[in-house]
Amino acid sequence: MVSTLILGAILTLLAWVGLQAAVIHGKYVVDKIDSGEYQKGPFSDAMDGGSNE
Amino acid sequence: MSDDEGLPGHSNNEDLARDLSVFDITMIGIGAMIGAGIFVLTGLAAGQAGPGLVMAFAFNGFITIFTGMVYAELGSAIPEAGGGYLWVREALGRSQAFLAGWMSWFAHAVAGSLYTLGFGAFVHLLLTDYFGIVLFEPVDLFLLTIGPEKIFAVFAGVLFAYINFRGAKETGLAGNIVTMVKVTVILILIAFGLGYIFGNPAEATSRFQPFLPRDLSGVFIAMGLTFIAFEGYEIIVQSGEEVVNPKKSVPKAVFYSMSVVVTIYMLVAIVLIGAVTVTPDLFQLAQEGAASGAHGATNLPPVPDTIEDAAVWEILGHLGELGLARAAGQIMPYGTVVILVAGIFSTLSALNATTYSSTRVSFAMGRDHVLPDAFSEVHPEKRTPHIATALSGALIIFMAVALPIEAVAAATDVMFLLLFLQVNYAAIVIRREWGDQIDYGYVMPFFPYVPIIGIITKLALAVYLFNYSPLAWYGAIAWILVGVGIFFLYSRGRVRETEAKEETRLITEERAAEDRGYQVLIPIANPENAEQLIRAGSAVARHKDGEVLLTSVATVPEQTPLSEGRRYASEQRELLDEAMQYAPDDVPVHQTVTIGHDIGRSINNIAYQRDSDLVLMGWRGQRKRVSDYVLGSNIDTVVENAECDVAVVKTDGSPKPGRVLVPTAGGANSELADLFAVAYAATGADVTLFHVVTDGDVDTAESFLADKQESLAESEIDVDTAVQEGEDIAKTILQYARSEGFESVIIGAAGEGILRRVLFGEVPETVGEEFDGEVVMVRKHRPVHSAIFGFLRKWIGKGAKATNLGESVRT
Repeated sequence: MVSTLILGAILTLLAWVGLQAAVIHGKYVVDKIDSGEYQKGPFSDAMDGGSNE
Repeated sequence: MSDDEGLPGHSNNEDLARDLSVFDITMIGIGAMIGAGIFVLTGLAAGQAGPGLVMAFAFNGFITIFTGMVYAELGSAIPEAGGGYLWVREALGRSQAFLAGWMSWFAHAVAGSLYTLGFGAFVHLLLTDYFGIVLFEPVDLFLLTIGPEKIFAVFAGVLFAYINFRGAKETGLAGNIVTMVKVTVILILIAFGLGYIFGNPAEATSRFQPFLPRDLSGVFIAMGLTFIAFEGYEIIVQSGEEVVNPKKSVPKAVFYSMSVVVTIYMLVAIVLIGAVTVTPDLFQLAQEGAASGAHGATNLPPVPDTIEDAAVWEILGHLGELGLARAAGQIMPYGTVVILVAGIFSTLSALNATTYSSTRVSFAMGRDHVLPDAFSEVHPEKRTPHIATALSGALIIFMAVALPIEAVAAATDVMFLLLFLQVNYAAIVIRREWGDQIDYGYVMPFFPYVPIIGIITKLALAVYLFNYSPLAWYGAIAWILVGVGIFFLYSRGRVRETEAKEETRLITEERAAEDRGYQVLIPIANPENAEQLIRAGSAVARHKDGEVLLTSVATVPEQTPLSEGRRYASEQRELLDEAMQYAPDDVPVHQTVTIGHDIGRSINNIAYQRDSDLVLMGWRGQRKRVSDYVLGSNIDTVVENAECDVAVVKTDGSPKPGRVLVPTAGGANSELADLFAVAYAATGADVTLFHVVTDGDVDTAESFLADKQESLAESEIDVDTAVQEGEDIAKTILQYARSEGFESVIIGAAGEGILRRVLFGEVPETVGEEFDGEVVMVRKHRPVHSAIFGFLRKWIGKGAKATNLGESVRT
């Protein structure tokens, strides 16, 4: 029987890892869009996901 | 509802001077989230969740990231002041937006109330326990109990309403330092705590059992209660229109700040539970807290009869907002007083931020005519939204006085959770309606499931908070009902009028700048000198086959959104229109009004945004001998921080100079001076290259000038040369220029300063000050060199000093 403490620690860690994964993925998407290489967004052909800055 | 004039095309005719970096707004987000929440709410939440507090923070971070992704996406696409309110207005229409704005105003204001109460409690404890000052006992007034904490809270609320009215600004650097200090204090606390835990693993582990003494319901309540601590992304996107490259910066700041903050909160929770022992002192304080009903001791189990039966989390719960401070005394030396002082600063900076953001929301609603126009009135002298500030301040103070701290915290959370529901829904509508037209800097994955999960989790938490504080929900419902009443009785008719007006408004377009490669940016403030500056700038632009961009800066205080500066831009527009008469026919000259908070920084930012190659500014010719500035606050700021070449022209109002002296000694700055010389020569001026010999080696000097003369001749530019011996370079230049009747001197910068402000160097500045004619001082941009010196000056020298607001550019 897994104790509540162990289960809680695992769930806590999973939540934290999930958050960090979202953060890393977010940075990846931002950089890819900036360099015009991200194609999964709702971009029109004209924008093509690239930076207009 | 917006059409194609709306969401995708939020364009205007002026440039907003963006001056916040991704680091700055990440620090703003961290500052808001680490701010008061961790100091005020941790004890209250520990009492609900027990050791499961760690899990509550982790879960909060996890579910918050769903809405964080929504904010990152919309903040990258529509980086304007207004944040959630603006998006709801665009996506769901003005009636929904009214509700969003109404709740947002309340949420930010009540968050301010929470911080004033935290401030009051910390100051009270500091005065009584550490300074031995005896204050009056709480007194009952009608339904309210007023103690010293509430008096301090009211004082803080009034003070910060006044500060926001005055428009006094907290510089970005100062804000960053405050954030770094409080993060450092928390990290030191964590380090001490982890040191104890690793030294006593068995004892520390035992304190985490039972892990969920109040089951998962306690965790959920703790999550709801501390949710406000994770809403920093709302603050980040509020700064969106002032961020450099917001498409990248805003989403990154949202993610980075979430990552850092959630980790810190979890570590604080681990330390708080694992490294604190229930001492007789803590036990007694908890009993006293429980008996008095103070410190948010709502919905908590009673303090056990004996100290042996008492768990740390129970004690912390009854210590409420003082839980972290009291516990810190055990974790590290002087822990309580350090946490109290850090908590006082944190609550004040958070109060400043919430006063500012609640003012902005109510101001935006006034501007949209859904609240009375008075909300959007801007003070004629201070240029701040004074009525919105006063009413937001009043709301903050009223809620702080009227409600107990735990109800204030819960009410804030309920409002933010309901607001985020709308924002999540708005994100779905915006992506579906305009997704292919919007220039996103970040797009969330798994659309639309991410915002849907955001909606479900926020709704669940909000509903669960009813178990903790029904009073908070009653207050929230009452506020919403009042809002609905105001909307139907007042705002709805005004919305129709506004929409009708907007449908018929005329759109004017700025003449788009041609892409001519080289661009000279000329800031203008004084029409008398416009001709001379445009003549000099055009000469360079003509020589480089480039263009000239004229700008004039309209400033607004930090408290006022940049977009509001448009109402002050008419004077600048007239100034530029007048200056255009001096534009030559053979050089493209464009104009733009720049709106910013600080003239010097605005000029640099617009040069960066427009990719200018040279900034050419005017100077009256008087050095500042009694202040920290060399040529003046704005010129100093531009010269020190520009990311392109800079020229400062001492304007004398003289016509086109016929004879030009160019003192030169080689180097990058001299090359830029040569560029000016050639440009002047091309307009018909007689140019003389000049070198002062201080070591007696006249031959080398003559040879050096002859080489330069020869290379210019290859470009069909004829110049004369002259060499003079002298010990004092500046004096020799001045004597020669005067005796030979030169009308203009062009001179490159010499020397850099770290501990002392040196802009162009002693020689150019002396010549600039003492020569009666025109003097052009130039400084070449060297990116790596400038970055190193800028960094050193910022942290060691006087470059960190803030510049003044409201001073005009000297031209």
